Amino acid sequence: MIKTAFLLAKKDLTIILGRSAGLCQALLLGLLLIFLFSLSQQAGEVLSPHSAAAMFWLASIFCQVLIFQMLYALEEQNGAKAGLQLLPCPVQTIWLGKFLAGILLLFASQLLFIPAVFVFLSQHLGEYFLYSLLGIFLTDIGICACGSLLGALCAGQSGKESLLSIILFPLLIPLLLSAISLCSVGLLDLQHSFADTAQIFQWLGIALAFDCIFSAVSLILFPYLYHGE
Amino acid sequence: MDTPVLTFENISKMYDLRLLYKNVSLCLYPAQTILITGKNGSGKSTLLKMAAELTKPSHGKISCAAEKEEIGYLGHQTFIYPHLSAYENLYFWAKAFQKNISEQAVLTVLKKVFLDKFSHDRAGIFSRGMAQRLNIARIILQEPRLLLLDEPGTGLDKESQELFYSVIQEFQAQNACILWVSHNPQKDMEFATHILHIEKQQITLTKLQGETA
Amino acid sequence: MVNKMKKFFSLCLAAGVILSAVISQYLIYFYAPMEQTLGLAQKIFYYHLPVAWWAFVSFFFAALFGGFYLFKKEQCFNILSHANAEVGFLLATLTLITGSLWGKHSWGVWWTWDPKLTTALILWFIFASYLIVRSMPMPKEQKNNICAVIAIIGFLDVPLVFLATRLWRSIHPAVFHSGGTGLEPEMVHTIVFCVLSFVFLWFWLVNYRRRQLLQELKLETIKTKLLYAEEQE
Repeated sequence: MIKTAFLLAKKDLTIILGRSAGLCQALLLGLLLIFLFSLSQQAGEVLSPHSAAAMFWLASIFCQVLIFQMLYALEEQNGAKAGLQLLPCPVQTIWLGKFLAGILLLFASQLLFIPAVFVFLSQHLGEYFLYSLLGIFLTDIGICACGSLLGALCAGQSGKESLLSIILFPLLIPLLLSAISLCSVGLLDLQHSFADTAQIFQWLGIALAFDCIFSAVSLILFPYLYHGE
Repeated sequence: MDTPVLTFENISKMYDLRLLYKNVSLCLYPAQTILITGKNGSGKSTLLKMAAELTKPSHGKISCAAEKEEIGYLGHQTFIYPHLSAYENLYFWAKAFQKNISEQAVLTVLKKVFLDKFSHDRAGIFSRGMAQRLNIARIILQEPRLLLLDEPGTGLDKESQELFYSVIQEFQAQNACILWVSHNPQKDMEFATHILHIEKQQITLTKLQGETA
Repeated sequence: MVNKMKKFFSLCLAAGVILSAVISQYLIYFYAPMEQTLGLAQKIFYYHLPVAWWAFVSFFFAALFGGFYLFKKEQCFNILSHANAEVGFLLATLTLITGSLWGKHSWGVWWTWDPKLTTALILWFIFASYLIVRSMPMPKEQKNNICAVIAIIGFLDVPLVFLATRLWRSIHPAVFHSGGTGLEPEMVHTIVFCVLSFVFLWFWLVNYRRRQLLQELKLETIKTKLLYAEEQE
């Protein structure tokens, strides 16, 4: 199962990174969001770390929605979906394959968004940034677990473009709250120079709980969403 | 006789509130080529989907002696990723079906379906006939024991069609069991050993007195 | 015999709905004392709490029956899940409206990051998308599966939303004090009666929707049967 999942992820990455401009669209959308938000700053004004972190995650989840729509659309073109369902391995392998491809693409996009936040939103690195990195990692796992599950749900539906977002965004709110809080502690805050470590751990706990619950649920429910007929 | 490849026991199947099959039983053996006939919407494709475990019957039991990697499915949809080359497509599907194949084996098969010149071109530029030949190459590499054909012949030119029939004959020589939904039953009849007719939620299997039987 | 029983049962239910409604109104306006600072607006509370509670119960059942449907593939579970989701959505909408009115009057704002409020809103969003999927044209079984999955994951999200919003709010200064806890005993009696007696209306709504959906399914089945019977002759 793991081997086939890696094979699927490799195939998807080859197509998306090497052969089409799909990821560029997602990246541009994210960058544009961050840039547009920088317009809300007035001259000389510095955006609070909270707002900057919120912007970063807004860019990330829009990018992630596009990534998973792309990943599942690949299977619709020539009916390859049926081919994948015929593979001699559990259906969950497809979920895992898309999850792996999706999380790598999301990491790659965030490598671009992080500098953009520092440049456009004039932020500075704070002392707790390692917690932020851990927060980004945990959040990405949760986001991609949900994205991979719901991407399957919306694949091949008419009007799927907005369907994925309207189901996904409310679901992700607890994770996003934790992500925004964790990322804002990694940025230098001029108003509040302290951060509550106990609270950081509580946020990490919520992110971890989200990851565990939604990975487990995805593995159980995925076959019902991605089966024939 | 040999052990059956595929057995249907008292199968009933509902599709969207509609009863397609009512208490149907069926036993298929190796080296049989079964042509499925019936009206549009009588459930021909659903029969293939049930055989491939893509959909479950509403009642009854299906047992298949072939492992999942030994069930080949050739439909009018080609399963081709347009952004990948012909070679990459074949290699991906062979690996995904857990075949350990060499680069040379892939190239040989590509030659067999007259696509060796295009092996490193993106499959997206292929015509319908070329794409379907690539699809046939995928099935050759998979070496199935149970082959499910869902109107694979639609839109093929003469050359591709001949290739398709020769490949079918090769599978017959290897004792594969073939379930065949055809868009052109008159022509395909000469390759079949049995006819499976679907009518009024029931099926009838008749043996043909052909030379290929 | 069964029909008579059913009829008797619905009569009892109707009587329950009417009686509980009348008694609640009496309790709300005549038994419970007037709140000193909020005045008449405080009465919203007696409507808000029951709809909120029963919206939550409906969503719980929508998820539970959704799970049963995926597991057993029985149509009745699917219908129960659907009926509960619709009633839950209606009640959640009422919850948000009454909650907003209450918030405006007592805290001066329409909306605040309160854990309960946010949880209700998120459930509302998730079940709104559930109803959108219900109305989309696609094969029945696939649609039922998707809806069951949405109901389940939506409900599983609730504890996380609640925890996260509570933690989130504690970062910001607590500007507003949530509603007074020192209720008069008469108020407590009234609110408890309102919440409990709402079960009649809730059950009546869910059951009514269930029967409608069941009839719809039966009609469709007959229609397809006739359609294809004709074709085969």
